[in-house]
Amino acid sequence: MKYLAFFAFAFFIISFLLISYVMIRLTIRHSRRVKLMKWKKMCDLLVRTAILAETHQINDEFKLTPRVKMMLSNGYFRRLLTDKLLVAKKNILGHSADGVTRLYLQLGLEKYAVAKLRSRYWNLKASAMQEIGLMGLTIQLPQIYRYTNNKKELVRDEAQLTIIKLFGFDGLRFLDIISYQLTGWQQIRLLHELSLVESENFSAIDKWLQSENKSVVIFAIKLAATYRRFELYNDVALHLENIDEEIRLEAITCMKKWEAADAKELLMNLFPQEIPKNQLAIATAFQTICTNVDIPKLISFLDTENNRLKYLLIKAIACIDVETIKVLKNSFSPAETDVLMIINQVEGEIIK
Amino acid sequence: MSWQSILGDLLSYGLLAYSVILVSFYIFIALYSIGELRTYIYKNKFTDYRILASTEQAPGISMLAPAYNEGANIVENVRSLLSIHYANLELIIINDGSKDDSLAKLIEVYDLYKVDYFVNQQIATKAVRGVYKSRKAIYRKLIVVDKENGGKADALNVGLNIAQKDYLVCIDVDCVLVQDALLKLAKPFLEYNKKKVIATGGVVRIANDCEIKNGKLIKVNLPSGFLPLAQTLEYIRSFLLGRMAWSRLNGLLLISGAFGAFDRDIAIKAGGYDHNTVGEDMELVVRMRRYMEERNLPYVVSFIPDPLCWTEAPSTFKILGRQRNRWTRGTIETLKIHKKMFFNRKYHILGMISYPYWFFFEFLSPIIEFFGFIGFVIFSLLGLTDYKFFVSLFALVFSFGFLYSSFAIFMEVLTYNQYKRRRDILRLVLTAFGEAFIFHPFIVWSAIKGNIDLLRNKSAWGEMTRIGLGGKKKK
Amino acid sequence: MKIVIAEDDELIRKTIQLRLLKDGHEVVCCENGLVALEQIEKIRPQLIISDIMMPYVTGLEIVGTVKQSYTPEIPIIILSGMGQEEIVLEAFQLGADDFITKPFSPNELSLRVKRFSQRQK
Repeated sequence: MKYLAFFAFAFFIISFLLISYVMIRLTIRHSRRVKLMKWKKMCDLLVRTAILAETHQINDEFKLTPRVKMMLSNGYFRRLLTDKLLVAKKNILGHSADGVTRLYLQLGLEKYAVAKLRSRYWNLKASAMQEIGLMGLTIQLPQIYRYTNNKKELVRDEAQLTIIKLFGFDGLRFLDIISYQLTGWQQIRLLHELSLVESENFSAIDKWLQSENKSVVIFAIKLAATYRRFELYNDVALHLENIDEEIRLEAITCMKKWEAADAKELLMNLFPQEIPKNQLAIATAFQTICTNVDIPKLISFLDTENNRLKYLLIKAIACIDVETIKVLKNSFSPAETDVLMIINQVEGEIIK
Repeated sequence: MSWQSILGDLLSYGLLAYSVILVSFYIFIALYSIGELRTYIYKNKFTDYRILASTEQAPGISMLAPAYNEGANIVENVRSLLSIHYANLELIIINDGSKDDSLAKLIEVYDLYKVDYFVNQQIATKAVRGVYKSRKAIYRKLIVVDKENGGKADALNVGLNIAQKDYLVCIDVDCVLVQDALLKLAKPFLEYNKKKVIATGGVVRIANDCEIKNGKLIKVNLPSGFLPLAQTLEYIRSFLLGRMAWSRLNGLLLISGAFGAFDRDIAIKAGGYDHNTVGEDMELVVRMRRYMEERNLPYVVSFIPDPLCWTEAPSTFKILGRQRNRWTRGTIETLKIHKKMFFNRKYHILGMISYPYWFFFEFLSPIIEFFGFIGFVIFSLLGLTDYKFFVSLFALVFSFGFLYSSFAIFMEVLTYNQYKRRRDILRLVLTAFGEAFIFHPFIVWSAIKGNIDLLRNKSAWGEMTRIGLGGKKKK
Repeated sequence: MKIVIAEDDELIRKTIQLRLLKDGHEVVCCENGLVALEQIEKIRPQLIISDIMMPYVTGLEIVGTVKQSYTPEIPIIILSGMGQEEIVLEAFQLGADDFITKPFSPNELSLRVKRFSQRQK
């Protein structure tokens, strides 16, 4: 019983401490508000000066007040300023963006980024790399390159993005070495980052298409599709028969994006034995790669229980030739309401 | 030793043991949620959701919003849902045979016309009367379905049949979503390679007294009434601590019916929503998990702690009581349907931890509390109570409840900090203090009533099943 | 020329504002879509520059609202992120007049604004 009372008492004390901590924190935040506003204004002013500066000589220095120099030793202020500079860099191009980088270097902020990169906390490492990439600094490269295969997901993700920001398509060579899987999300980010840099005729996709790392293969197919590298047709087509269903799906999607008529025969042959999900993808691809001669074959595929598939096939037929749909409609008996309704739906969608 | 004293000891030590286990469990949950929450928040800082808003690679989402007699606000609510940031989206409004002018209003404002539409009956539902689309290009994401009344689960099943995209987001039409809600909810589906993400749960927060304009949340305020206030605290506790910890264990059982995302294929394969239970949201998640477990497919049920969905909470005892009564029945029905998993090693964490936890601490705890209290009263009347013991036990449970709430407030301030004023935080603390005397007993009482209702109904049900009729219950 | 800028990021908003002030325009800044709609209604600007993803009311909604109101002649320049072609297309369907992708150069923006101001004279 004594224990019970003791624990109850202890719980109250801990609650009290927690609440006090929260209140003190809020109070400090409140009292700092005015000061913070002032700091924010200072940062804004600095960044704006950099953006709107008229001269653009590399060697020009911005005039800084002694107060700013003094404030830089304050970690909070420094973070605030760095963040503002990064936002500016992210959104602004041309001379103005150069001004931002110059200010960043003049303030010596890259020193802190390097220190963060060496920190043992993964979130600091990641944020340092983001900073280095956005500012376009070519420092600490071996380290960052090594991080592209780090065991912490966020570290390797940011390292990969940074390398691409700095080197564009050449940076992709980290795909040769990574042993961890790229998540779908990371692939989207990489493709987005690549869309921001000048696209050149980069090589090595064929090598990645043979990678041991499944996600690298998938990503390579996406690259081939996005940058319309038709010369890789044979390499991608091989993956239509890969044992992995996700790789097959990506290859099908690629053929669809390419509108690759060459793949027609192969896809039609593979269609019957594909898994349902991939069948749907193939049926969608038929919309763009098939022509009038294929209509009989497509109609033969309609013999399926899968209504979704039926819909996509009928849509494919309609995309090739609307008139066929009307003929098709008459070929079914009025009792087959499902198919007729699908045809009506497709008709409505196409005519609109 | 007399039998009375044996009974008394049994009662007191039984209650003590139960309390100790309960307290340890909650301590574990609280501590276990910290790391997960911190990782999430760090990661979030590096995420530029704008990329996802526009890419064609973003997972397709069908948003399902069932509406029944929502005529008063439906036009505004749909407009607000249409303004959510997400390109690869279709919004399916399911008019569940409303008796008011909901449909007419939608047709007029959004310039809808009836289209030929094949409804793929993958799950049996009540008849669909018509599918409508808009003539205007701005509203091309909108699909309105008119169907015969069949309850929420049935309406959602119609949505499942009609949905074309790979993922479903089910919401209550009167919820206010933050504009990047779908971006955040969709991201987990892209984050795993070896496991399939079958569902993502989102946070629901209380919108009473918040400033809402044109269906959009303008300013967050702490509710003024005691009941909404107590629920605010309750929601913070359960979403920020409870579900975060459960998702870290990959043992999450409940995804709020008001806001959650599912993999469409798995939801359909698992059989869609069950309209025989009032807890269709929890039941579906359990069934989907069971589907994956029984086929030995690696899967994840993920959870996003950002406050993304805001909803009006019941502010009267009557409505709150009804809600909790329903929740209790939903929980019990779900547990009953899936009783096979109870301590069944085949179902891993689901069978060994999640299910037993729900059984002992969600289902049994109001019952134990209730009978503990009755026992205490009887023993006191007989003059057998060891007051000192009971006072200490009460102090222990009460102080722990208070600690748990304080910890939730602490985490809230450190993470999302929706309520910035010190006065608001103090009010939450006071609520945590007062809750045990007013709010909590009422919740327990509503749960007991739910149990009683279910017992009564069940006998009626039993007869019906015996003569071979599927029993159907109205809400 | 009277210009309304709707952009939620303070830095970008200010940058645009200062650049356009330098060109001698009259500029009103709004930090979210809701304020923007109110301001547009009130001051009837000759040009609107709007971000797409903003709190409360999106850029698309602003385009839709303005182009369907009794002032559809107000030109609108959309600010969008890279790779948001889909959304930009949607904006054009709704009646947007021009677009600029972020990251953008303030000087280019100034030139495009000049084009609109000349057209109106």
